[in-house]
Amino acid sequence: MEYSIIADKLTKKFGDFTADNAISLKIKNGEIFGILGPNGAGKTTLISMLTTLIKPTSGHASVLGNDIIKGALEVRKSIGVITEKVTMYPPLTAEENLMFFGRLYGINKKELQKRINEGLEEFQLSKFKNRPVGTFSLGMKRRLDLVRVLLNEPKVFFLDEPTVGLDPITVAFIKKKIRDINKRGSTIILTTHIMQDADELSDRVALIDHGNLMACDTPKNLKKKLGKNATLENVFIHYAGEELRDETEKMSLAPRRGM
Amino acid sequence: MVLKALNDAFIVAKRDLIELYRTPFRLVMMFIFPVLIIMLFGFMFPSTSSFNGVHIGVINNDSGFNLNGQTVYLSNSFLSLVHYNSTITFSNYSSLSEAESALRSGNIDSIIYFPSNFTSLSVSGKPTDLTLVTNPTSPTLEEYIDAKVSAASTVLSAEIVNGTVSKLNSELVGLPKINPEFVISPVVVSAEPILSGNYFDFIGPGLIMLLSMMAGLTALGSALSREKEDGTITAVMLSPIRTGSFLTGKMLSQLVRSLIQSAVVVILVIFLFHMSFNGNILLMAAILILGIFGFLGLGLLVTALTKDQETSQLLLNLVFFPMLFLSGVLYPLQELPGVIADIAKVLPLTYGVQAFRQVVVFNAPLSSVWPSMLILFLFGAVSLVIAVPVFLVKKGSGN
Repeated sequence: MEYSIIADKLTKKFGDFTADNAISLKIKNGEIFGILGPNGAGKTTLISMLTTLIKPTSGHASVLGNDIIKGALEVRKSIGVITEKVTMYPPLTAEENLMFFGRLYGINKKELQKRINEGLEEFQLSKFKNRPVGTFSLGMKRRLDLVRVLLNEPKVFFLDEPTVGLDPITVAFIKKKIRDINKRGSTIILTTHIMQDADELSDRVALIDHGNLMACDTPKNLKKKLGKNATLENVFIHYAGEELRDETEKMSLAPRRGM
Repeated sequence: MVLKALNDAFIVAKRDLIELYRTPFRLVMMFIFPVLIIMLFGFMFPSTSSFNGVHIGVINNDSGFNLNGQTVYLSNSFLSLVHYNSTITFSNYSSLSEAESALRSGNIDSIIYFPSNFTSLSVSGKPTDLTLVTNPTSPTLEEYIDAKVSAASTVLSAEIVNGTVSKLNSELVGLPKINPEFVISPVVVSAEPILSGNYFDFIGPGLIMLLSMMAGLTALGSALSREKEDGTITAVMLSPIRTGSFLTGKMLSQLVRSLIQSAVVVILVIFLFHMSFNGNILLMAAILILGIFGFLGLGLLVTALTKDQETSQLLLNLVFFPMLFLSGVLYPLQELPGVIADIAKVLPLTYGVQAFRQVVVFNAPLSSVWPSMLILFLFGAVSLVIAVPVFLVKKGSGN
């Protein structure tokens, strides 16, 4: 199987509002694939559909050959997702949080404990494993989130704004880890507003605006089309325009906040 | 697959309970609220003998009766009888209008007015009367004063009749003697309570059931709202767990919490208010569990339809308050007027309170309470059948 993700005319509508309009994508195994777009462009909706959190209105998609609707549980077993918001239980210790999420993947206790210890060691959190997560800094929480998504040894990672709000040292650390994970053969789907991160990390990027796929190519090719010294930011503005998107963002977020 | 689903539910429930244990404030509040409710109601609605600080205004115009050179005042004897076995105090007023003004301003709780011929009429064998002015805005206090005055009136009347009949008997020669007790009360009603108890024995089971309902209604909702607001529910839903397992786990942990909560309340009412639990423990526990289960669906529905904890709390208040006052928790349903009584009959808590009270107070068997238990179960099941799909649609996932 050459592709980790295949999306075919994937569409999501919230009432009259079309968040994603017939998006077709093929993401290769082992690729770091950046999804870019302004606020409310439809990135998070696309990720939510691919990670089985919401059902598409029409179209199909598969992750590692599993249909996102019929094989939703299989999809979830094979992916790791980091959302923009850190998702750990603050009163529980780091180890208790990891143990809880690990058990949901059906990993036996002994093996899980081994993976937790290794993960905490790799992300330099071992000495904090018995501390409640509520006492952690944002950087520590983000590192712990990465330990969590690695527990089930997924083949596909979805990382939604993984470096937002972090200090430069932690950003550098996380970017290195993303590359390390990719080197182990995993496919990474990355959404970010930081063009430099997307440029540095991504093998290919897709630009989405108003729910439509505007472009999909390597950062190098996209920049080349605009001229010799063009940056990815120039590419972004070229496709998305300079209009502020406050109203559009409000419209697209509202229906998704049901959960 | 079933084993995996059950195992996942246990993992979720265990995590919830660990979180509760790790959050001392939430843990303390979990007990403080029901304890506070029970204590407030327990002390607010005591047995009638424990009223304190009752103050009665007296307008005593009784001019007495001269008996063997001594003036006798029956009004004084009457007041002594009212005071007997209580802490009631009296203040004298010169006119009814002055006393009424004191009653209106809250300085006294009631007025007793003795006419000038109160003693003289009684002694001369004629009926006499006194006036009791009460405050109907305080019904329990009004009832208490009325009972004390009526009791005093009965005792004094009996003494007067006794004296009159004894005198009459001594004058009747060769005729059958009259029994004064027959004259006082020719028909005697002997009330025999089926068991010893007080008002708390009535409201106690109702309050415990009410707390169970609240646990079912609010606990699951607030737990899910918290997960929604923290975003942790997204992480859980991204793992291979079925929504059914997740919800079952949540319900399981709420059930354990609520049962512990109920056990604490039961211990408290036994020691503090000497409430007796006469029924079968398993049956009582089963009704409590059904009470919690019965309202989980409604709580879930409200959570699914609202965006945050504050909004769900406001909506839940709309459910909670009518149930508190209309489900027979504080007073018998027979006291409710027509339409309100009909509304009470469709409230599920009414059946929970009814069944739990019957078992706790009268040791009713399963055969008497199963219809009420079935209603609770059906309400819970139907509301869950409605709530879970709404929750899933709002969550945006089909699994």
